[in-house]
Amino acid sequence: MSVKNRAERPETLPKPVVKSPSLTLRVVQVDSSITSKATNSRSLKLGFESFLAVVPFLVIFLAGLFPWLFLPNGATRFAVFENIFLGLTIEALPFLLLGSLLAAALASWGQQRISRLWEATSKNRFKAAATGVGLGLALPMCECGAPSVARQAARDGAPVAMSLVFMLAAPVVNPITILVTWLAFGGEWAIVLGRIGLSLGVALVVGLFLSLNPDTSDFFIPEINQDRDEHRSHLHSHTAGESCHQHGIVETENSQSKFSLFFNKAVGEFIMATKVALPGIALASSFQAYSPPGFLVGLGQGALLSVLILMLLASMMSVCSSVDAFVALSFAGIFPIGSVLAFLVFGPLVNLKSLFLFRLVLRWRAIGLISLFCALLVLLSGVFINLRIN
Amino acid sequence: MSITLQKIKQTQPNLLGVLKKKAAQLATGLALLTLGVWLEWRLGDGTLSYYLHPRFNLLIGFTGLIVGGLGVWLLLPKSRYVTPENSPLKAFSGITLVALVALFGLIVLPRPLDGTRAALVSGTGANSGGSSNRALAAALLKQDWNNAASLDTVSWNLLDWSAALNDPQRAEKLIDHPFDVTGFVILPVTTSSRNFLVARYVVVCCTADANALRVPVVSEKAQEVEAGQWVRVRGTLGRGSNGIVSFLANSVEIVARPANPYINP
Repeated sequence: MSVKNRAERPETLPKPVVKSPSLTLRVVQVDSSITSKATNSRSLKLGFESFLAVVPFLVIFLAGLFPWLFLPNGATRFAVFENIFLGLTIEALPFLLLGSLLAAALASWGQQRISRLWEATSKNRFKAAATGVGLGLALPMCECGAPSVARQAARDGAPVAMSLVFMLAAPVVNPITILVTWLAFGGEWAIVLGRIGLSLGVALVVGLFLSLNPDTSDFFIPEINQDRDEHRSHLHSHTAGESCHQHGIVETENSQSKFSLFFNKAVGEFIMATKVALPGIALASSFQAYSPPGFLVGLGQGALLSVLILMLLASMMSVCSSVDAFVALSFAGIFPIGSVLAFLVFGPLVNLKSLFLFRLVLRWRAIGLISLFCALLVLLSGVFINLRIN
Repeated sequence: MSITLQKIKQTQPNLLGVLKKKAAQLATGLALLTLGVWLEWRLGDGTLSYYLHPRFNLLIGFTGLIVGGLGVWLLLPKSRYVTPENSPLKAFSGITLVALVALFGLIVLPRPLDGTRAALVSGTGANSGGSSNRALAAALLKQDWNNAASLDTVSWNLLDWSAALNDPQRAEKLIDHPFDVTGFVILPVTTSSRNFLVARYVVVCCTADANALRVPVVSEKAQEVEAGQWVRVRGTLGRGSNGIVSFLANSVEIVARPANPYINP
């Protein structure tokens, strides 16, 4: 080894024990040191992955069984937890499946065309946000199904503004939720338009503001960022008419392989979405089962406190956005209208189910930021409505 | 054995990987099939209504079929499934969680919400203690309250009565009107020998939004009923000795729990 190389050797590498002029022996000793570091790093990674794999089970266990062991009447309350947990799970399954099927369809049949759409909208964040709103209006998605679709869109290169706006707005601005809200409040358009307007406003402000950060790796989970990078380089190397054999996509007339791809994607997305949703469902069920009924509602009234209480209730109850209007209706005679609107808007945006489902797409710190911004905007709007309009 | 393994590795270097993938595919297929079977079973034996509003039955039926169908597809020898998870541990935890929930749903005896949650709400009056269905009931029912004589109160359920009794003026108009309701018994903390509450849950979507409607009953048979028992109560609306508008029951009959124990507006 040359003197120069020896001088450049980092301090952390051990000096050769055997002072042999043999280059091979010194290289072997340096390699074994690097190998042991790599082994330690792999062990740490494996340990971390094992922990992550166990987290959903831990959350469900703690949410369901822990209070049973330590609260009075725990056994009877566990029966309530079990009923609500299964009820919320059964209710969520169709929408998780719908989101997975849509995401799989996008991946299997619409990927090329959709990717060009994302590329076109990525140049202008307002266009991207508007596309997110349009998709939300067109697709009957609640907060269970929207993250799967947003995930597929993000992997195909959809801009941040579009993904965020769609995920936040879709649960409220879809046709079913609008209709049910109108029915529940007896055709009261002020409530319906107030809900749509406030939800869109919050989704657009949050989506556009966060999209100012050009680094998408701050938002999306690493797998999505990796897919986006691969997708970007793949698109740029693609010429018209050239068949594509990357990522399992085969642009041939072989429809059987496309169906196979579709089923593959659908199953994978469904399993992943269900795994991610279940801890949130367990937490919401635990809150319902183990807290005294109505204790939040009884805490207080007033322009500010009532908004805070109903926002907290909405996020803890995690009722599906397609039917939460009926639940909100029961508060209409007790709380001011700004607080009821806060319930209707904040619940679909940020609740125990959706916080975990966002993990299909976003990093935890992005989820935290979004939750904070949404909470502030909804709080301010609710208090303003209570003070000025109510 | 080790020589055999070495030979296998030489001739089929990817055999172990292939076997692992196949095992994962089979496990996923079984988990989805179990999930589908659970949903269809609950739909078939009528106990799905213990968890959800019946309006979701068709949707759950289709979901069960599709999920079960995906499970069957995975179990076919020619199908190929590759998990999108980048870590085998994450893939394993997803499959296991889905399978455990499906098994939990299948094994656990389905039962509806009982009176324990409703009994936690304080108060002895109708819908008292923070229960908040006044606006819900009134908005959904849109009864014509002005002509009290024309109202067919015998056919009313507890939701109808809650909407009626939430307004003192309406309640006054309904004194001496007959009632015939079915619900479960809640024994108030401060009991008299003649009072109990008859209650029923209103479920709009799923049991997560369940709200208990309660109306006080005055009856000589109050000592004979137990908490949680299902009863059919008949009589006329009146005022109890404490002045609270109550059901003055001339008949309290213990009945079996109805097939659908909730009121689903």
